Amino acid sequence: MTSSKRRYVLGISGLTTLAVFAFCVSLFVGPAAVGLSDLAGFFGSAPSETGWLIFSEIRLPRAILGFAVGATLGLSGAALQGYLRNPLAEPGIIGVTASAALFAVIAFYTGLAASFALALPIGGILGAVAAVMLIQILAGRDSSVLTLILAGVAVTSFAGAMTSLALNLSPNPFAAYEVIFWMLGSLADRSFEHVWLAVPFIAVGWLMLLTLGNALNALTLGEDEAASLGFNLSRIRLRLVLGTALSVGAATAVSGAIGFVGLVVPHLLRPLVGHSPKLLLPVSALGGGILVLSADIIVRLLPFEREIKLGVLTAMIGAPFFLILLLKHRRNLL
Amino acid sequence: MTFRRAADIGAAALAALVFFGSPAWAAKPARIVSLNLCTDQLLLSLAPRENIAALSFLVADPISSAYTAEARGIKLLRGQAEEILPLKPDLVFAGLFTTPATIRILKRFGIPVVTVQAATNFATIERNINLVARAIGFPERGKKLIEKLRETLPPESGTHAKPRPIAALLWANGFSSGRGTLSHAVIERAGFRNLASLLGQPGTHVLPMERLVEQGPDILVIGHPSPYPSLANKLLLHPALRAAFKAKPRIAIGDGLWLCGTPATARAVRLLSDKWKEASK
Amino acid sequence: MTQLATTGLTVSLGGHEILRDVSCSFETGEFVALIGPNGAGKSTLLKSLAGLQDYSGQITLDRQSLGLIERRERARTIGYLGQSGQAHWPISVEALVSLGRLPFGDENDQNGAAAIETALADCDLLPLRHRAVTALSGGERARVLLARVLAGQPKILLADEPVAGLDPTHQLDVMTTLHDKAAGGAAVIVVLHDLSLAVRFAERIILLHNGVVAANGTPDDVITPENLADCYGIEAKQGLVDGIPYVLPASRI
Repeated sequence: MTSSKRRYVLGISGLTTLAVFAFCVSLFVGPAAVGLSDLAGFFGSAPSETGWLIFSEIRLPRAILGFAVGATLGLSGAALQGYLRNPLAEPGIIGVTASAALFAVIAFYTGLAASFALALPIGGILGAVAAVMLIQILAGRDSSVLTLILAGVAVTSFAGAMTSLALNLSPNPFAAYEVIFWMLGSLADRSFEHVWLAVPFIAVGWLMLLTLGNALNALTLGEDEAASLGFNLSRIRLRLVLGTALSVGAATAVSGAIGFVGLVVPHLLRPLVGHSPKLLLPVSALGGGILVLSADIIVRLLPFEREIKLGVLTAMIGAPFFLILLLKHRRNLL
Repeated sequence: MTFRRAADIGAAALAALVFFGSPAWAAKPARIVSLNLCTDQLLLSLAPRENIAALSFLVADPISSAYTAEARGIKLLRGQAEEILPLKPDLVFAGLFTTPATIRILKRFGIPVVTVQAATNFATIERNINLVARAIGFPERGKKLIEKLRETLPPESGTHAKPRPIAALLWANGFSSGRGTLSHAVIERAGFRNLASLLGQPGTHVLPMERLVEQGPDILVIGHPSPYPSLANKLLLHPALRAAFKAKPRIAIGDGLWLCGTPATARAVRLLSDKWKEASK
Repeated sequence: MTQLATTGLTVSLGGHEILRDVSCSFETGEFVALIGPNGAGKSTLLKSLAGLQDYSGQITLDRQSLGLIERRERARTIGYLGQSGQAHWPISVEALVSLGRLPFGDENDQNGAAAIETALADCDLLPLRHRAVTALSGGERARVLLARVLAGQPKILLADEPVAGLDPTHQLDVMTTLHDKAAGGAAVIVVLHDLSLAVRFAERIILLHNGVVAANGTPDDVITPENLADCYGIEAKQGLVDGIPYVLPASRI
């Protein structure tokens, strides 16, 4: 096995182990004292009923969603960067999560999601599709870093303003407080209802994105060469749009808009895979899952009375990271 | 002493008497305005309707107010000075958080403003009733109202067997009310222990669902769910909550009864203790 | 013997007719230079042959219409090296050259490793194989991109100005490698601006002018004072030095 392949296999195994570890830790973090003895219920012996209830209905769905959302953000970030050949692309920066949140908010607060539960993730998906297509029009293919960021700023700002407006217009008296959830994201008090709503769409989205590996590798050479290597560019684009929309849209619909994961994770892990866009995909998925699970653990360990929103943590890491990347790419902006 | 001088002194003496004198002497305010939900409701229970010029728009909200029926037909304001001044009020009631800028303008126009602090227990409810009753010139109405309130409340001691059952308060978005809040006073008066205060946190704060399930309280008390979709409502439908309270009583009490300390608050106590009696059978 | 042919090829872009009724054919073993002034349609012709461009008319590969051939299969036969070749991520030279094997699939590519090694050797890249592509000089990068095309072992190789911006050493290297490939049995079609390189390495030259084929034949037939004057508007000195032909643009007409 070549050294680079060995490095890749090591990397994947290491990340998988970390992910499993983070998942398990996440199951044991929380304000209630739920320990291993409470898990006895899983093995049939006399359980502590409340302990088992907390574990199975509160902690488990939260951990599952934490990994699913994080992996989605990491994977879609890697895919978008590979396709747009732009290291600053990620669903948060280009406005996909903000747009998904907007449509999810509309689906929820108009009562649509109350009569038809799937309206919530579908709303998020439609919002994500709209954003990806808009970004393609504004700043697709080979356009400069600056254009892409500006397009993302435009979409995010507009979606954010519309979300505030929608919540303002809603007769719901808690709207002002709830907007924080949609804009900054949180996994608090998620239940298996959220898992069933989102995970099927997320899984299909993952499938579509993970199969883009070879195409993304070919795009390293540019679009013409990639087409000459036998890739159907319009079908590739469709798979990217749908894969991103399905996974990021559904994830945002149940967890709010969490940003920067898709930027930080692929960037950190690229050296691990020799910058190969294809290998970066599964690796970023694992890395994203680990990042969000860890952030969710930290959020519950912090001594604040009110759990701070996940998006705050990811922004605290991601925004400075983004600035550093911008500085590195300064010459591309001119 | 000239006649004119005597008249001046007499007028001054009369003015002093009016200003400092007993309310029974002074003319009762005839154009009262209230800018605060709690004082709105107190006014509606104490003042003659014709003396009320306007109330705040919140009193008409069926979720927050217990006196929507009584408020019908009375002018409602959003609370801006521009709306208030044309009414030429001779007395204005405000809460601690009523916009200071508005109050400053009213005072500049020489309108007397009475600030009423929100009641956090039954003693302060009675204090506020007396305060408002005196200010509007009907102190005896205040005393009568307090009597009725005390009658509505269930008997103080021996309400429930010791140790007293634990009640968990759950508001929208996972908030609960601990010691020092009106809701806490209601819970305790109804004969329960308040889970939030047992867990130590005072005031209104988030009660994590995990703690709620872990502590296993005896009764769940929530506000009426809002008729509109909200994340807050969804929280109340969380499977963990439903499972934890499958066999236990839960009761929804309209916010209007205990958002403000009014005579209606006694009803909340009654509802709680009746519910527990019914569930214990 | 593989044949790539066009009949009545017409390409319009943005309302503009870039190519008009172009008919030509290429066979394996040939080295054909595609020349013409800027805007004559050379790149467009090459892209059409590679299947990257919408067109009207006919392009056939072994008498099968190009549009009906499955993409992957076409990619295995025709290799395309574009004008502004890029390497977007700092992957290793070896990894980039391996991209040329993508049309062959991951699983059944028995010849893959050998083809990659041969391509690296042909382009003198063995000592650089683990270097990051973006850290290379212009000449080295050009060789890497060429090696990528060669790794696919295409029967038909289309190269659009592969020596643009290269120093003389690398120009000779690339042209020699391409010529060797033609000798080895591939059809090599190269767009060139340098007329000396064209007459030196190509056995057939197609001269495009304003979207039509102005001349198609041996270098002697095509590079004539009349053609140079009509198409390029220049006068040139032609000759032979030590057996190496040259064309020296002298003055405008």
